[in-house]
Parts: sequence; C-alpha cells; structure tokens
Amino acid sequence: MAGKSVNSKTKGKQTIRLPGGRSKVTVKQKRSSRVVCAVTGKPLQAVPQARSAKLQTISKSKRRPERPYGGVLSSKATRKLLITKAREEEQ
Amino acid sequence: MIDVGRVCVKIAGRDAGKKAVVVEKIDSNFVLIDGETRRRKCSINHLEPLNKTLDIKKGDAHAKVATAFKTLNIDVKTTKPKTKKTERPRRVRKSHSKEKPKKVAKPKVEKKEEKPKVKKVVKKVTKKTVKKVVKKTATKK
Repeated sequence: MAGKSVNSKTKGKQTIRLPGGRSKVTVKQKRSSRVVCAVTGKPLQAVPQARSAKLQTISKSKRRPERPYGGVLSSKATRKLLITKAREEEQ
Repeated sequence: MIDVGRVCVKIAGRDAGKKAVVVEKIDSNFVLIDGETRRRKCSINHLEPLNKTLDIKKGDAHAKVATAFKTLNIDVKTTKPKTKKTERPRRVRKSHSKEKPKKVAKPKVEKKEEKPKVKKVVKKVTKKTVKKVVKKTATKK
C-alpha cells in the first residue's frame, strides 16, 4: 500500500523501478526558482537557490552580496543607477 | 579629468555610492582614493568624477582629507588607533551541588637562613702534633 505522502497534489511524483522488478511511486522535493534582477531580468549571482527553511540557516552575509541593492539588482544595473543619481545631484 | 583633488563617487564594490577624493595617481588605470571609502587603490573605471575639487596635495594623510571634506559639509569617519586587546574577566559559575569545604591556606613557614657550609679542617694525628701538645702542657704547668 502506498504511503500517505504520495497522495499530495502539490508535490511532483516520480516512478522508480526497484531491483526486485516491481515499481514504486516517490514524491519529489520542491525546488525554489533563481533570484532575478528587477531591472534586467537576468539571474543574480551570489544568491543561493534554496527554500526559505534552508535560507534561514545560512548567515545573512552569504545570502546576498555586500553592495547597495545587493540581492535586488545586478552589478550593471546598480552602476547605471548610481551614475544617474550622481549626475542629478550636480544639477 | 581625474587628477589629485578631484571628488568622485564610487560605483562598484561595497563602498559603492560613497564619495571619495583622488589622493595620488598610481597608473593610467589605477588611482589612490580616500574619504568616506576605505583608503586604497581603485580603478578609474569604478569611479564617476564630479565637478567639485578639494585642496589636497599628493599623498596627504587621512586627517587632512577629513578636514578638506568639511568644506563640502561631509563628515568623514576617523577610526581610532588600534590598541592592545585586554583580557576579558572570566565569569565563575556558581555550583549548585553540595558546598565543598573551603580550602584553608597553609601558614607560611619562614625559611631559615642557610649558613654557609664551612669545611672542618681535621688535623692528622702524628708524632709531631703529639710532641707539640706535650710541650704546651709542660710549659703551662
């Protein structure tokens, strides 16, 4: 008889062929999507791809780069933003 | 454009968005900066120059740079000089078990001054020494 965890509809399922010859249905782990830049839409670097339960165990400095708008914008997007801010202040 | 005394804004790194001044020109690509950022080498591609300049000489110390920034109404942090680490006082945990008897300090025993050892000279008993002793006793009588 299959376990109760297999009855879930939110998790993905996978059939496995056992060495005895019979098949078994297993439940897949959920995976998180990659963090993406808010301006360009490209995946960010130095941000781990993990679900919230594991992210809480990681230290804050290892979750995002030590930079303004780190974890939100890419490095190129921040440079453009800072240049426009500096030029606006002069005027 | 980028010369000694030019005020810039740093674009890259963890000091991004902070203002700095060029202190020395090292190379065609690198420059020494100081100000709100750390005092270190920086590439020209990571700087955005502004129209402002400061009265600074080549290789000036951090203190002079800080005073020059006051004209622009910018407060620059001056770090304290590093001092030797002092040992933290250790906390002694209270024991909840049975009270142990307090140790009584042993009374101090004053050490006696050791006298310098003197070797006793033992004269050998010979015929000459016996004759001398006999003469002495005869003269005394």
